Amino acid sequence: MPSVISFREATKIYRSSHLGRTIKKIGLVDFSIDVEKGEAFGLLGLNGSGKTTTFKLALGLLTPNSGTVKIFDLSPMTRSFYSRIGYVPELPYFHSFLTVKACLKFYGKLSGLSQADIQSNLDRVLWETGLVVYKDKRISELSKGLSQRVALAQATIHSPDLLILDEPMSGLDPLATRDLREYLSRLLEEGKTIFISSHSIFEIEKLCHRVGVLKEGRLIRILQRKDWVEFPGGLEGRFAEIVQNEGSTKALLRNSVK
Amino acid sequence: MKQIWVLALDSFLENIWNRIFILVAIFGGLLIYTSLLLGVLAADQELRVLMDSGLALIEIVTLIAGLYFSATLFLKEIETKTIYLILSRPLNRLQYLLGRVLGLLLSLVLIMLVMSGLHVILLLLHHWNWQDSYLLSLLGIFLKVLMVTAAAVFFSLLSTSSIAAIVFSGSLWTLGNFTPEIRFMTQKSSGLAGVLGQAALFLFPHFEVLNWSGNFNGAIILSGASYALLYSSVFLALSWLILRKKEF
Repeated sequence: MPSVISFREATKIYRSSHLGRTIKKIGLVDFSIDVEKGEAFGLLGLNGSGKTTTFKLALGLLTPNSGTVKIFDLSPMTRSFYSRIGYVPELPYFHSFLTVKACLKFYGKLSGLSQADIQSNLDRVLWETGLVVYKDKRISELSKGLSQRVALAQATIHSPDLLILDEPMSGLDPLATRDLREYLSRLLEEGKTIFISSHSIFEIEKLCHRVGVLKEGRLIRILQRKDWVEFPGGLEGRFAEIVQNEGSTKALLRNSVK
Repeated sequence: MKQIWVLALDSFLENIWNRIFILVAIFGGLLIYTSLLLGVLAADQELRVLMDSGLALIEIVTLIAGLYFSATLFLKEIETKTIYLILSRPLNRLQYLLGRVLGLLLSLVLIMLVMSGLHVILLLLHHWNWQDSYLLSLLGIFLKVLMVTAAAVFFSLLSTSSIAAIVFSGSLWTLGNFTPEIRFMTQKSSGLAGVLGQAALFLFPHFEVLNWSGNFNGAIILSGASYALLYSSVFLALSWLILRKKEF
């Protein structure tokens, strides 16, 4: 069975020019993973380690310099499968003048849902994300945590098979974080696939089957659940140990990146 | 097509809610009122001055709004990451471009309708008799703004700076109003200056083909409108070429 997400030695180097000088910045180097159907795969890494670059490559917002990326066994440039993907970017923005309901309808329509499907899915998603009482409120009236719920609702209104979530717990209070984790767990039980990054290691630990640890654009370890369950410090301890003991990618790649 | 329309409506609503739209409406109203004063000063030519200055002001205000909306449209979406949420949906980048541009044009049509409505009321109050050529003048203005707006969309994607996009496309508008003079100078020039003048003439918009006041010749109107649509389409096609390869 083909993987839902497949990266093969994907490399992304950002290039920018300033005063005639080209500056290169490592985004991701030789990144290879397979995420299977029904799996929750987490990405952990410090700031600038390549988590968002990975998601952007998966969504076709960036193209790799080398290597391949496949989603549902197709290149991200093939847009036919995008109705099967739900995406939450880090700190998303919505038009402040829209109500929650209007905002979700807009994304439902863009996802190609019919009017009837939008109505039924809207009720479901409002209920599941706890936004029912806020449905007629303007986005500008919502707290950061509630906006984050709207972000999750827009990503699930079309019942996608794959969820790509970049820091979805950002700005959520503890109860909202718990609700979100429970919601994602329910989606996993329904057979959905989740590809997630978060600085909240505790949530990743509870939700994910496997975790990839990134450092300076390089995947330095893939951990199975048993690798952290049996470890005294849990996933946080494993993560700290791995990141601190791993050498700098910049030094390793200085000569290989042209 | 459905998704293009959904995006267009979204852009249209966003522009209506944008403060600049309200400012443009107020500004337009004030300027038209100023043209009334000019008309009074012009004594026996009052109606003509009121007509000409009103149309010129409608053009300038619509142009300012068009430049602002088009130069900030994509850059704002990139900055706020809204574009991520849209491009991660089952629609291609051409649909995205067309949807956003269509929404922008709808906003400009609304601005023109508001201002021209006000203008017509002022004219009627001065005992003006309706003339169909008024609609032709509005169409000419809209096509001019369309050409400059399409150029601004292209420049904003090319330069990733809204100020640069406004300056470049604003310059095109200025030069487009002087193409007969530039043509005259080119004809008088020889050598490299002549060649450069010819090249520039090819790139600059020729607004004189859209000045139809009182001219009901169908062939002239059709050729002028076709030229404006072709000119705008070239810039939009170039914008699409940039957008389809653009990384976010």
